[in-house]
Amino acid sequence: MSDCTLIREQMPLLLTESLGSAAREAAHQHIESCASCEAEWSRTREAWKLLADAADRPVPGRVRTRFLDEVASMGGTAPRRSVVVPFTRRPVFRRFAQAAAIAVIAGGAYFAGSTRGTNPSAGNATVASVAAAPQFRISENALLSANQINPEITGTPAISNVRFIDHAGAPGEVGMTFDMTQKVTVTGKATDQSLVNLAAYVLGDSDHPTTSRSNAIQWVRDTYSTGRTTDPQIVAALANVLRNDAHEGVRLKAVETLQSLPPSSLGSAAAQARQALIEAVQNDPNTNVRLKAVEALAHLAVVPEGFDSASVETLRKKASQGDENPYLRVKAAEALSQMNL
Amino acid sequence: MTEKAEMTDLTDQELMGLVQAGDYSPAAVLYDRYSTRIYNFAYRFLRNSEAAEDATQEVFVKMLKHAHQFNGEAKLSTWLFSITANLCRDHLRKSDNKAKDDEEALLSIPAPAEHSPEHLLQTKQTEMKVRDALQKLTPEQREAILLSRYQGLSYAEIAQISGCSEGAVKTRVFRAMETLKKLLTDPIDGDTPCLTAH
Repeated sequence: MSDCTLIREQMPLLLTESLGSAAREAAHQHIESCASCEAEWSRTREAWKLLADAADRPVPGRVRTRFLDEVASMGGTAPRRSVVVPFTRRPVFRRFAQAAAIAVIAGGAYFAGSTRGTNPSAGNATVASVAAAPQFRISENALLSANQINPEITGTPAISNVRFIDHAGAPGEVGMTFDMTQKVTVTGKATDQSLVNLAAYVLGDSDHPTTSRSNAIQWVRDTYSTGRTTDPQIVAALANVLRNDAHEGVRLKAVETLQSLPPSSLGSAAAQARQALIEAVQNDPNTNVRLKAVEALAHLAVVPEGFDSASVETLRKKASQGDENPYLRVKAAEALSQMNL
Repeated sequence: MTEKAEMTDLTDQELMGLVQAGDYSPAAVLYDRYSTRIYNFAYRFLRNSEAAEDATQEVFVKMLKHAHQFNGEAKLSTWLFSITANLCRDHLRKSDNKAKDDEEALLSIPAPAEHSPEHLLQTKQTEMKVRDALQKLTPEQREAILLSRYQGLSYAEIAQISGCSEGAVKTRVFRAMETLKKLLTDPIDGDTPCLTAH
């Protein structure tokens, strides 16, 4: 291949500065000394410049509108629907709903099987105050006679899992079963055991939509990152999320939340948080999660007597692990150097 | 600070982390961040504004639906251009591998008011010439040149998007530039018909 042919093949690389410095210099030297290549280089640059003269077109606004409308229909959390009232209840049904609302909190905040697979936020807005309720059940299996409810349906109730079943009632009766959850608001202090139990429950139940867990993690972060003593149950729940949640985004958020908590606020739960982070640094399949876990572990490695030895050892191993992401290894090394061991 | 303002401070990785967790609230921020680049890539590839609009919308919907496939090792822009390029290739395949002209849409682009009519006419002519020239390239060459020239992606990133080697990308860009040089800088070989009477 002649010099001229080689240089002309390299011209696009010169334009995009993709040549090494030596090759670039050699190419420019040749171009300066060769009239034919100089003319070709001039044409190449002119064509390259003309390409840039075709300005970007603005994206029509309707594309954004259509996209956001589609997002809204996909069931994410971005566009929140207005609250609707599902049924106009007769008094019997209302008592039933209130009774249904009253039993669960005291019982340990569990959700009955009928709520599985439904989106609690998509239902209506029955607001219940826990303060006045010694017992509170969020949902339960209810058997209602058709004549107990008003036949008129208003709004768009969130009804799911509809099935028609054999019903051993009076002759000629049929059964229609479905899930219909109500939006329940529990009010109280962040330290109230019922709220802690609920948050821990939501964090620990992977059957819930990831949005619920993500929101619960955010609540933990907002509530406890200010220095308030973190309930050990919450720390345990975050640790479990980090170990078990299938969604890396949720695990990432759990790590970031652990990192946001002042070590002094964790008390006896700090060891549990560190252990979960150590396992994440060692085993989490997602690079981002491992990276954040390195930072969080360095943050929580501080103990009254200096630094937690297991955490330091984990960071050392990570920094020297040959098959690990180089950036992550650098982060681990940086964390160790900042400890001034 | 509003939720949107807080979102705009987050990195692509952080926003995608939220999306992967089922939270679609970063959708608008991500759209605003990348829609112009995606739309213009699709438009220049397909030369059809309607198809480019559809592709742009579909790219971002796919970004949300398949967020779990984004592992954070590549840049989000690289991943989005991969999706866009796939959609554009599919579109071309379905339309007999020919981009559809969309001259009216091109001419309807609002021009800055401060420019003289002569300048605007020249700008439009240049744009038309460039777009015509781009359509003379093979889809593979066009994809490579669009990603290199307009998106500033490295050959390694383009190779990742196009599913080929870096060497193949270099060849495609070289051949594309050979064609573009003839069409854009040589009036004899250009599209302008010769009106000289013999």
